[in-house]
Amino acid sequence: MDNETVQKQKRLNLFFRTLGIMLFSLVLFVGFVLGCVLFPMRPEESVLENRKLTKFPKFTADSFLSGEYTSQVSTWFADTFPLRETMVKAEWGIQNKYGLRRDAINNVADGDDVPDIDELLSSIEEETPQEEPETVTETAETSSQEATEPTEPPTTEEPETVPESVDGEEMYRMNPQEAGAVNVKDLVGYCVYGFNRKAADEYAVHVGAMGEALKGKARVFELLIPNNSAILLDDATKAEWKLLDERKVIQYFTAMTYQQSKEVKYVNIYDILAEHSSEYLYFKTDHHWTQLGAYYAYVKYCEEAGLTPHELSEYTEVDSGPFLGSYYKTNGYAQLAENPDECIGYEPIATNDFTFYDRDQDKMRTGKLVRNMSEYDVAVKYQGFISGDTAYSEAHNPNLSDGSCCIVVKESFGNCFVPFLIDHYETLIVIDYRYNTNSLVELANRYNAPDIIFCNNLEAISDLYVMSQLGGICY
Amino acid sequence: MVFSSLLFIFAFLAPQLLIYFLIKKQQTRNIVLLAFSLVFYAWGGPVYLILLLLEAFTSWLTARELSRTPYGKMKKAWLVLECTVMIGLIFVFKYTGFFAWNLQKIFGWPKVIPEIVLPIGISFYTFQLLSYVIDVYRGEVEAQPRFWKILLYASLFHQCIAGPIVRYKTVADEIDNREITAKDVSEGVRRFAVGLAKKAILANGCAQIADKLAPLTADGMSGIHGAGLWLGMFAYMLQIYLDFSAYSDMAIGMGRMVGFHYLENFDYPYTAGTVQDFWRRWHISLSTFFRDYVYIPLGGNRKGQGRTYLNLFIVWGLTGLWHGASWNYILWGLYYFIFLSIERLFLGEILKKNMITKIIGHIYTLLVVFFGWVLFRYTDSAMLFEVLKGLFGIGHSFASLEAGSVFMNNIFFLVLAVVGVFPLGKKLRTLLRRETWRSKQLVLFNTLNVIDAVVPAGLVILSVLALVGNSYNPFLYFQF
Repeated sequence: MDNETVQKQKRLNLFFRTLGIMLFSLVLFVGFVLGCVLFPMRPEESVLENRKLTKFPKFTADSFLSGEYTSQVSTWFADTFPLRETMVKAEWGIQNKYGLRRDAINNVADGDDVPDIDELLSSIEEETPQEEPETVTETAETSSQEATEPTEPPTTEEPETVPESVDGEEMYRMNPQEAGAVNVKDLVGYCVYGFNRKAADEYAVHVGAMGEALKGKARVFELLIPNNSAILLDDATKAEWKLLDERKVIQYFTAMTYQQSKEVKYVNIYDILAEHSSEYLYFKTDHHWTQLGAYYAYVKYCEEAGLTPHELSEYTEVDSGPFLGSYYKTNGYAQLAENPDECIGYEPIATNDFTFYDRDQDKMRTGKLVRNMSEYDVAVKYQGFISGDTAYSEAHNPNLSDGSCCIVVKESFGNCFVPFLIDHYETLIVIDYRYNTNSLVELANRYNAPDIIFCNNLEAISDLYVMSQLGGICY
Repeated sequence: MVFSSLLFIFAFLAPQLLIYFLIKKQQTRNIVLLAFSLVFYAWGGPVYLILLLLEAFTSWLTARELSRTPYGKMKKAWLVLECTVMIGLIFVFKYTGFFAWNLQKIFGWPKVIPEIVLPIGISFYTFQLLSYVIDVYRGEVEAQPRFWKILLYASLFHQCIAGPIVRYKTVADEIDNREITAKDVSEGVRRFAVGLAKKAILANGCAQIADKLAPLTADGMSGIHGAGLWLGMFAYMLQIYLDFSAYSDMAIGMGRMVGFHYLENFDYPYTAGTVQDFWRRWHISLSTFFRDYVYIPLGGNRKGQGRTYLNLFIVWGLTGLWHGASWNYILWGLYYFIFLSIERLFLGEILKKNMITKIIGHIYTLLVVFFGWVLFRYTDSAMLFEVLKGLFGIGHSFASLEAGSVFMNNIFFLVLAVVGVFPLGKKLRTLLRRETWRSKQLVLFNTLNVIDAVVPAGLVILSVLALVGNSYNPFLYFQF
């Protein structure tokens, strides 16, 4: 190579070195501007992860000296970095290419053994709960109850702000969506449920206590929602993942509840869900059931409660569009994006309006029982049902004035179940016991013979802390 | 503050480099570096800055006195003072709890085990300062007359909290006289970006696999399986190298950007053919520290075979203890003492004989290192025992749905991580550049130049994505 070419190439080498340095500097500069200059661009909430992001810490001498303050500043800096959501999505896309990522069988069921139900049942043979309601003297629809006073939230103090016509839009962004152990098979997420006997026993004690406390004053129903894995998976996969027979688990729950109180009426929804298992009963990317799944539960409930269910065709369908739920965003199975859900709701006939108190119980807001969420982020569609998990919700049927009332005690699975009920009761009240500590008995006593439904998913009530929260409203 | 954080990259390193390059005067640049280094260190807890200042001051003073004192008892006394203060401080902060725990187990005293927070980086900067004073004592380096320059040497954020243990003589000249060329900055940028990506993408990804399959909690032990443990520990083996060497890469890179040339700390240790070879390639600055300041002063191999093995035993016990105040680290050090002794006795020679024995040597070394990491990972003896049993399918089933799933879901990532552990990329780059230049294929050569120019910025962007979306960013060196 001649000298001139060598010299030219040396200049080119220097140019490329300088180019590399400039590009690196540019990335650092852009990052500096984003991180240190554009403070207003810092997000406060993550729609994608459905949580409030870290707040800038308060300065104290102690926290500063211990290094806690600076550590929190570091966390805040990263957690609220501008364009965070875009970058997180991009990263998930990259991680999705890490392998032949289709199925993710990360878990086999881990939990307590379910006690031998046959043994348990035989010990209380004489007292086996019957699926049919014992004696329904009057149904809610036919009851001649006195009109109740205008309903109040179950707080002992009046909220500072009188009911305000604020739409609960921001609520869609704040509700936690959590799922436990999850496996992915054929681009569908499945809950790997582990039975917790202590929690089950505690549940039975609380629900049974309500049956006894409200004896003669209210009808108490128990509706236990199986997980998608129990209804949708074939036996071979269930065996491979060592899944429990959830039918037996439910039997255990009901038997234990029955030991506590014979007043609690069990609504068996397992069989009707199993019969319709080929339909779209559970989301594929989220741990909840669809509103279609909840509809079949509603049909079964009506059967038990002596109500006449509406046909699905009577409702106005609300299509909220594609949905990527908790299995995608919380459990991080990015491959589920290839098989997104469609979030379809059914707008109630009598009314779609309701009011609710958020978790702080300081402000009443208005909302829709079933909202079209098509304009919201793909990750938050399930919050279109009764505005997500709130402390207390209330809806009134303008077509009824018979004083009938239904109180639903639920966790998030109940959200898409309760809208169906408003067509049968003058007043519908929904309590999320994780955010509400007011007495259920006191609330029930305000109404004339209300129907009370404990509507819970098995996985959700397998946690002792959550059961202590349930206990918090029961006594 | 850790290197692999957005705060460090954008709110610390970026302004530091900007200010540094806006200034032309060397001394002022040093002051900028010192100021940034002190802020960097204080970020983890300003109280411990006092300790760093105290150690630096003691070492500066001792070295100054040593340089003025002729050989004799007084000189030795100064050295003893330095060693006592330094080792005493490291003992108090790092090992008090451990020794108190052992005393309590044996004698039932003390009743309360003191809980002393370990100042970040103490093992690194204490060893640096010790090496400086000993080198002054030996006459290998001049004492630094200015205290702030010793403080700069000890606190320089590039290596203060996670190494490498930079000897003063390596940077003594560069503190006052360093020239920064485009090549230096460019190489520094590349090295930093590679290190950042190794940590943020590869090491953190491996850590997630390791923690999932080789759990660190007693609760997690119930679900372990043989296959999962093998894959989990394999991921940990990758993680610990990628993580540790990434910090050294970033330190070397940042040093190079501002004109410092630190020595290499890792030389692809998983390519080693013997355990001895592994330790020549792993955390080189620590191995050479113990060689130069413990093993050789104890007599090395010059005082007979028995003494040699005793010296090795001491060195490897201390090496283990340096990594953490727990028996498993000491056992880990002594575990290597056993294999190094066996190699010294006969195995080393056998493994070098021919190609087949060399291949066997590589496999043997990787297995020894693998089980070494098991010892290193589990500080709890019951869990360690459980994991060792699990690895051989004793007491736990071997087959694991989870391991298969994790493997398939991360197969390309694991291949990439393995590539990152071996010098494949480096060799390929060198080969391509050399061959295209030799064969005068300037278009191809300049294509490589373009790739070289774009890759660092690209790696930083990818690393930032990984850091933003992933709260899993462990810092392994708090215990050191």
